[in-house]
Amino acid sequence: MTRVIIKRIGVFVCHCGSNIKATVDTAAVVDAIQSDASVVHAAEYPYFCAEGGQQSIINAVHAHALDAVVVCACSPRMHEATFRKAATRAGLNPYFVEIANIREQNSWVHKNKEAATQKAVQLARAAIAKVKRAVPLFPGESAVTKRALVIGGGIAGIQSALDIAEAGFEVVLVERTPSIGGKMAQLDKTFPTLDCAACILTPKMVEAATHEHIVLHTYTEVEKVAGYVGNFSVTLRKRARNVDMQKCTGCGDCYAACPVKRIPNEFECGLSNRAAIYVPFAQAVPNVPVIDRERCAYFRSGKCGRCAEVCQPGAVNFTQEDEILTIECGIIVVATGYQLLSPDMFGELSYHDSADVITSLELERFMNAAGPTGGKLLRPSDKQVPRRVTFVQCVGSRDTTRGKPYCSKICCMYTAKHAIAIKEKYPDSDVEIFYIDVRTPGKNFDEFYRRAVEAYGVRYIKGQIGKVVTTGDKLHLQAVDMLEGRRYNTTTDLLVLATAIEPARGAKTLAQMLNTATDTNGFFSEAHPKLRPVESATAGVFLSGACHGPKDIPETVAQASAAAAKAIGVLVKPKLVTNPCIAQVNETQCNGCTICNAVCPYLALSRDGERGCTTVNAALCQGCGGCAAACPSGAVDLLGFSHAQIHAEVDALCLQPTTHANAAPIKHTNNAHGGTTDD
Amino acid sequence: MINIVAFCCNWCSYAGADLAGTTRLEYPPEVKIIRVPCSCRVDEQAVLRAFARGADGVIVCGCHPGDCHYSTGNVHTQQHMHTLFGLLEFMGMERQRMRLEWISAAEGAKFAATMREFVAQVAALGKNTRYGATLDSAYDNTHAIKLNSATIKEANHAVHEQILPHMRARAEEKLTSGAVARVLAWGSGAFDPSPAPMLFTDTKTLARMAYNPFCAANHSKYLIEASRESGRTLVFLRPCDAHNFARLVTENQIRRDAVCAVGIACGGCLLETCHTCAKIDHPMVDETIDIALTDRTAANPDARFADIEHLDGETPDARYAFWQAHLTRCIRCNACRNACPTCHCKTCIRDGSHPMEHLHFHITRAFHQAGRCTDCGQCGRVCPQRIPLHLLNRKHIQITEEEAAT
Repeated sequence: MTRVIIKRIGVFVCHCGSNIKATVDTAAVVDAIQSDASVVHAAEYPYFCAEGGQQSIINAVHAHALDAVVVCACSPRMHEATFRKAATRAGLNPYFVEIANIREQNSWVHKNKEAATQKAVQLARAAIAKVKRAVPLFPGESAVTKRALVIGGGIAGIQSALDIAEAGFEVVLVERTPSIGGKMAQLDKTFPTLDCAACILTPKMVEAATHEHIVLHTYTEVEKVAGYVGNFSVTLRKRARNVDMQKCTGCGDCYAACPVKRIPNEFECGLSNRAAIYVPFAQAVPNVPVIDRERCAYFRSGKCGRCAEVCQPGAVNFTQEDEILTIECGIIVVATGYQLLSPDMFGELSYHDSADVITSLELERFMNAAGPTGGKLLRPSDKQVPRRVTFVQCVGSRDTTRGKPYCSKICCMYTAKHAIAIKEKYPDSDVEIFYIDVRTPGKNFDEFYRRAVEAYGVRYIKGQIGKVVTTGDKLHLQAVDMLEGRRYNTTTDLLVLATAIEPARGAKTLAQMLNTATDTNGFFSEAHPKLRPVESATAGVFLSGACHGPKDIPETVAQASAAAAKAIGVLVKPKLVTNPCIAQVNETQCNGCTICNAVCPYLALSRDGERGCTTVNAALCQGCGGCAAACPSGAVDLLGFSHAQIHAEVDALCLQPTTHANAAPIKHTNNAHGGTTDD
Repeated sequence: MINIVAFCCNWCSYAGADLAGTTRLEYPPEVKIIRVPCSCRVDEQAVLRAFARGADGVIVCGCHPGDCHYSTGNVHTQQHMHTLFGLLEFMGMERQRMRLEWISAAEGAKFAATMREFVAQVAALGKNTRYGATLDSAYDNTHAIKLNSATIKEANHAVHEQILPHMRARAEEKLTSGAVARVLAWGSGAFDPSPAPMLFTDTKTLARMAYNPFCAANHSKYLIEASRESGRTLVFLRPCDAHNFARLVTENQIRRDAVCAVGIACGGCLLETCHTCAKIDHPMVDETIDIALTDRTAANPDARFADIEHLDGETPDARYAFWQAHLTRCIRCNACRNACPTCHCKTCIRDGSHPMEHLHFHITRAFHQAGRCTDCGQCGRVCPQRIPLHLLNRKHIQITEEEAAT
């Protein structure tokens, strides 16, 4: 780094109209700071941020051959960028500008003009001291791999992948299960329009699979993530399907022939069975079966191979092994979605004791024309149409003792949807819903809920169920009606639990691989709750859908497209400009103890084994400076906020100008912080 | 007029201070803010320097836990400042002069209120004269505290005598077979009976190998150089040596593959720290000499923090006097630094001339060992001025252990 000796500093004291001038004697500040030998020019002006003010700074830089500029004005959070640009226009390095905050942190918070003026002088001196130790900084550049990786093939991942692909970038879409589609593929209808989920989802699934820019890897999991924004390298494990994707025609002969048939079908929530070689559902994409090795007779005992015998194209391949793929990509979209909390811990609801207590997702399968009952709502115990159906809301949601503290957000709406669907199909049935609060904000949502109550006569009871007992073919419920203030005992034929949403299995592990944060509930954290809702705190990692928190479909799709837009914003850049205020290691001082490596939240520091010292990855470093503080020998420094600069500021603020002259001169030498600290 | 330095992180607290301005919430002009990207950027040197240059109070402000712009920076701030403030307080600085506060960008009112309160608190104490700008050589030691250190108990010499022949045999075997090029062990030298670490390369000299309660030096630090020589080095490590050995391997200072580490039992030696030592394990060693390995010495680990608690029970004045009495005798010979196994920087951050040099040197030295010190007691042992330096380390060990327990 070229060391520029800063000898000629210009100080510009802004009045900010009367905002500063009313409390600070700006002329006195201009006078006082001129005692500093390096200050060759000092001026005041009503508004330095205005074009005329900026021009006067530029003129002064030229007229007085200034090396650096100190502006005493408003907060650097306000106009630091403005003055840095002005300095650049004047031919200075933008980091040769320091701001003394004499408005927000001085004139606006103090009333005593004398004290405020004195403080303004001190703040100006601190800024002068800091800028004297400035080094020219230049933003770095790093290349961008023009490829996106989308993790999760539900509606969120599909939407993000399609949007990025439509913008012309290559997308690798990774899905853990044998088919894309996610939770939405399991749904019957969607609220509040009651259009069929499959009808709107399956075209998108096909589009994603056939898009010229999308490479689909199903039955594939992320194993390792390395690199940084623009240059990620992700290791994928593509699990062996034992069916050749190229040869398979999707005829279905194999699963018809498979003798192992009684395996609970995960897609049907275990309500029907599948074979050991199977496609999860009829519209699966890709429509290629997969062999469940743990259940397959061939893999268990070596005796069978029926599927291979019947397969005309010879697609079944028992020798296929897991494949390890490495994907180079510029950005990563996380769309790992959610799963439902197990109702196991709510013993009083008898989910395990009674077949007629089901979850809402199971109800979706019963109501679905492609489901195990062909769309007929039949009680699991006796295959009869239930006369009365009871719903329980908030099973595990908003429950700080046994469940999750948050609202799962979609249950109120889908339960209203279920209630309407049941009343439509079986107008004679009786539907009641136990709720804590009904929450229906959203476009046409409350109207939908009111329709359930007013047009369909669905009964809403504010209260919760304390106990469920099976007697004969009935479920006896002990509940409380909180509005009536009484115990409410009733019987029902089918009990449906709206269980809480929780992050998908493995979300935490993935977050660790991506080195991004999750909240206390395990959902991925956004970089800023208001202003950066689809970015993670790790640059280049974006969040799409319910991996970030409970969401309904429109919200998921909106966030998926937003994440895609943000991702495209990175991918279109020819080069990424990096923050120049990053850590720097003095290799002659560093002894490679790696204490600093451990404090870095971005894994930007690593030890170079050959040289025995730590090196900084400029693209990963975000410039927090934790390493600089942690290094015991002072070998790590933070550009822009160097040890020498901070110490100079401390000295300027603590050594009072009045006592300074009387105090014994303090001798300074080059210290281990790598900079001279003399005043 | 007092002087307060406030270190504020750019994303939360500095913005909170700006908000206090925007909403015109007054606080005293004694407060001067230094902007840092993250509160974790504030190191102990910045705080010590502020006090050395005449600050009467230092406040470090960052984002609330969980809200850090850099995800976990403020976690490190908390650890660092908690330890630093604890050490300074232990050395007689009033705790009210140091503060760590979480202030968000939305908390302008909290910023102003905190500053008003902090300034009043520091003003009540007056100007800082401790570890600060005024070098007060005429300290008042009328309060000098007598330590109630555990009385020196007898070391178990029998253990040493039993092990020594096995050490010689192991050394002879490895040297003869060529498995190692040298053996690092204690040897009795010119000033017998005080054995010093020695490198044995010839089996004929092994008779000089010693192991007795006077073997006080910690072998691990000698391995930093020995492991860089060609050929492997056999070393005998007691539990304290082994713990430091493991630390130095972790910090890449010892080439692990160049060392054949043999764990041996400790019969205790004549160090104060030995009498409260609880270590009996040998992390990272290759082999052990299996004699009395699990026997505890006559140590009493429960009394480990007795002196610390005794000092903590005193007033800041008395603690300050205690440390002044000791630290003003420091001649900066750097023996403590050289003997400390975890002091292994190429250049010391405290080299060069600084005001308050000997005082801040010791705070820095102790602070830099926080979380790494194994309480081996070498610092106190080698001090020619008999400054109880291990107490500073004990203090941060106590702070770290308390923090881990919560």
